[in-house]
Amino acid sequence: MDLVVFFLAALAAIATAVAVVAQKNPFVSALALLGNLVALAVLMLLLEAQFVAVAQIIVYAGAVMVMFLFVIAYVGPRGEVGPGERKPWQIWLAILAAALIAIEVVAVVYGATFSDWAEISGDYGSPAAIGKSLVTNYLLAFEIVSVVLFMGAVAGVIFGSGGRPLRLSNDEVLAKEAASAEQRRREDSRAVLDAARDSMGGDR
Amino acid sequence: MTELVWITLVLPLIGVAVLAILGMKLPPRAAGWFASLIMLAAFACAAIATAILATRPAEERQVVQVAWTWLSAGNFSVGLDLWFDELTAVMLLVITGVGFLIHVYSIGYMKDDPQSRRFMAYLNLFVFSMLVLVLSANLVLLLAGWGLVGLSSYLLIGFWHNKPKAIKAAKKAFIMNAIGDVGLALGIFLLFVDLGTVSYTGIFAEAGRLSETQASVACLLLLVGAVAKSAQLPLHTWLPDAMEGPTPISALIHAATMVTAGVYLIARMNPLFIHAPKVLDLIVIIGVVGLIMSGLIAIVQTDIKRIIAFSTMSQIAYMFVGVGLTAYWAGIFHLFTHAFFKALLFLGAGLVIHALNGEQDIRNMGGLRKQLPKIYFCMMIAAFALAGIFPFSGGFSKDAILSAGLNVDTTIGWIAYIGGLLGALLTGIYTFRLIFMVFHRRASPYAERVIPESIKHHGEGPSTMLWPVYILAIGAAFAGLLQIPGLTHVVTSWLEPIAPDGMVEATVGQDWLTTLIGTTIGLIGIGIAYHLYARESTSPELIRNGRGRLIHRALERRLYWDDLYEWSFEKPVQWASSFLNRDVDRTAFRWAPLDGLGQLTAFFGRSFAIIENGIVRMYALVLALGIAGMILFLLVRGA
Amino acid sequence: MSVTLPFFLALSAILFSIGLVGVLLRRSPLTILLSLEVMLNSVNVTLVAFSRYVGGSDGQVFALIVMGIAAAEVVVGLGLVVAMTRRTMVLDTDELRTLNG
Repeated sequence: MDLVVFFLAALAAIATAVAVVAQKNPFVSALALLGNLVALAVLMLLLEAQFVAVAQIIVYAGAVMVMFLFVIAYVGPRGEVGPGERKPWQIWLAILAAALIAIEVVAVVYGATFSDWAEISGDYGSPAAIGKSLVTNYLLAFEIVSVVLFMGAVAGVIFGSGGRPLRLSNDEVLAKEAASAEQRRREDSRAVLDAARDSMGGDR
Repeated sequence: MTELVWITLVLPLIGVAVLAILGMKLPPRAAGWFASLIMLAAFACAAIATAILATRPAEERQVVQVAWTWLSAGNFSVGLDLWFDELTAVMLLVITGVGFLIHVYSIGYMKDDPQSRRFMAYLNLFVFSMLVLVLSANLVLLLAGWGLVGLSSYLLIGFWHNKPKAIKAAKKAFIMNAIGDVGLALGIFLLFVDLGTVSYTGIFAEAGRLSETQASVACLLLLVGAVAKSAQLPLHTWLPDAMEGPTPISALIHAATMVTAGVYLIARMNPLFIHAPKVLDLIVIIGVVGLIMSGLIAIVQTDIKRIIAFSTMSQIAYMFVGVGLTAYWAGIFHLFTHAFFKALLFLGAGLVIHALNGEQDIRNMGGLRKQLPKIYFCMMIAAFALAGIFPFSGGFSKDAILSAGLNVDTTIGWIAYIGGLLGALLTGIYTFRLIFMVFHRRASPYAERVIPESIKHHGEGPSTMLWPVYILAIGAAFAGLLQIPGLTHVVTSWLEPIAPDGMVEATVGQDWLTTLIGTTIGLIGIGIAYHLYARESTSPELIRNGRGRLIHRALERRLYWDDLYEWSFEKPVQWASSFLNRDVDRTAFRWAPLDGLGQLTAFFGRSFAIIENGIVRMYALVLALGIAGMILFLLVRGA
Repeated sequence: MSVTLPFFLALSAILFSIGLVGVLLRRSPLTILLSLEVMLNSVNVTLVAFSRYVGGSDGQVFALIVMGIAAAEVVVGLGLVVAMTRRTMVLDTDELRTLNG
């Protein structure tokens, strides 16, 4: 039973990961990453890490992915960049590096001998156990993460608020509308004049 | 009480921080008043602390407070310690009091300068640095203050940084002071090696262990620092050039406070210097030669601020004579009165320059006493005090130094006495040459043209500039009454405890005799100045073309000290570098084997530049390949 | 045969490599960020798997910390993307080559 679940989830994870990487449209990529996250959450449940699995879905799928989608929507079609000119040796080297790393890890794992899973008590992976570990042994790391997150938030605001706004401000819109109204009025009056001249010419 | 001292120290630092962070948001006037009020508060704290100190019995007046250990390595440990005693109290009052007045003066002086806020921040920084210097209880912290005042002095001399001369002067001051800093630092190292401590308490307690040679070398190195900071021979050449800075700076840093740090150092370290009698004699000699030399040079200078700068040199030389004769109280007393009358002289000169739209050449002044009566009056007080005329403040303090020489009654004592009296004659001449040429005489065409206009605009000067001058004038006139020989003895009894080995005090008879002679000689000097410069008929040009032309030119060139340094240090380096550039680099290194080295380096550079193509993905690729290679290496090796 | 640790490790390695390929080959900063997420998550799988293998909660704590750092990284990365957009720059990392040596 475990085996079936594992392979299904693993296949889903690999497929969605490939989709994330290969899709041209970042929107589709983001949705594929969402699927990838869900598949990984299933795997974590298999490892009896309930809390991490749920946190994965809530934090990633709920918060981070929403932010991604917002930005993708904000950027719009400009987010799509085609392959462009790219030297083939670059592609091959990239695939070589990635494949090497994967094969090496698999080779190491294949060569090693592992015992079976450890015996675990009932509260393994529960929020209580992890929380306790987080605020005792790993308190410093926890605090540092909070500082890093805070700095990230500040940096995000600063980066995002600089530069020229993409869309026109209210005043600019009004000015533009006024200009085009003026233009139209002028054209209208010219049309009236032309019509009058035409009609007079016709009389003559 | 220690809390008050701490507040005094920290207040200017707060001022710097606020002005540095909020400076551009404050209106300039507000920034000026803020800095001044900070100084007033610091002065109030210092005054209250001094008053509390005075209520204590004499043996409990030395307060050392260790805030925390600052550096600690092995048995070497330096704390952020404060030392507060009678000498520190005097310095504290001078720095904060005169500092406050000059801050207020600067508000008016700087009102048209767009960068006045930066100026105020620097001023506060200087005061903080100076307080660190005088409050520290160990030599390392003193060295920190020593360097900080050098830095603020550099920043302030070069405040007008689009003026090449000012930048050059600032650099000159900094380099000269750096030589002194090195000397001081070496002296501290030596003391640590010999005594194993750098705190005053430790050094004073252990100083007796030193042999005379050890003590002499250490004191000599400390003296290098003192000489550079106080602009004494032979490291004095920076002070006249420092006059390129704004006038309040000349008054505060280059007259009242920073340049007297050398005198403070010697007076502070007196339990050490007492073991090096030869160095003390050397200090007296440096002082005597310096005071005569700078007095002579001052007579021929034509820039009003430079005249006062040379007179500062000569007055500090008097202080050196005082502390060198172990009459520490007299040296510090002169420091105290000098702070008043010299700051007054500078501020007055600043007002004159202000009224003349920036003209500094005294030949273009003259006849100003009718247009600027208030400034004239204050400048006269300062001039009398400077010339040492009884009963103005400078008279008492200078005579105290000279009578100490009389009291010592050795060759050195007599050298100090005779040299000092000769200096008094010169002081009378150059001081009143300045007064007569600026305020008496027929007005020069330039002054006649400019003055009425400027008086109409702002009278004698803005009130923020005039009031500090009035207050300083009161000090310059009456500060000497603290120590009337035979009548009052505030200074001697107050400063008595700072010298555990005792200090020279002249008898009342010697004091009055010196006062009589000194005042007479000063008056003779004034008479000579009147004869030469005040009357309409004599022109300074006549003197220049007379028999003493060569001497005159030598004095105008400041006795060639600058040229000496230029030819002995600057030129050789220039020659050496141009030789290395033209003959060594352009020929020898074009020789093929050596040139190939360069080519090889360039080749490698070009080869590796290929992966530095600026594309982030490329860098990531190199990273990934590196990781893959590393794991591969470990795998192969493990197998 | 039941699921053992090597399965998870191998899967993690494969996912990591896929993400790496994305980072190395894609030019859109958005896709690069998404691929980075794939890499980070694959490492999380390893951490959780080893945590289960050893029987302690340390690995899971690490996984949570990785998530936190990933969130911070995404914020900064997306902030940069927004900033590029507002300055009407082309969203192409190959165009950002001021470091060209």
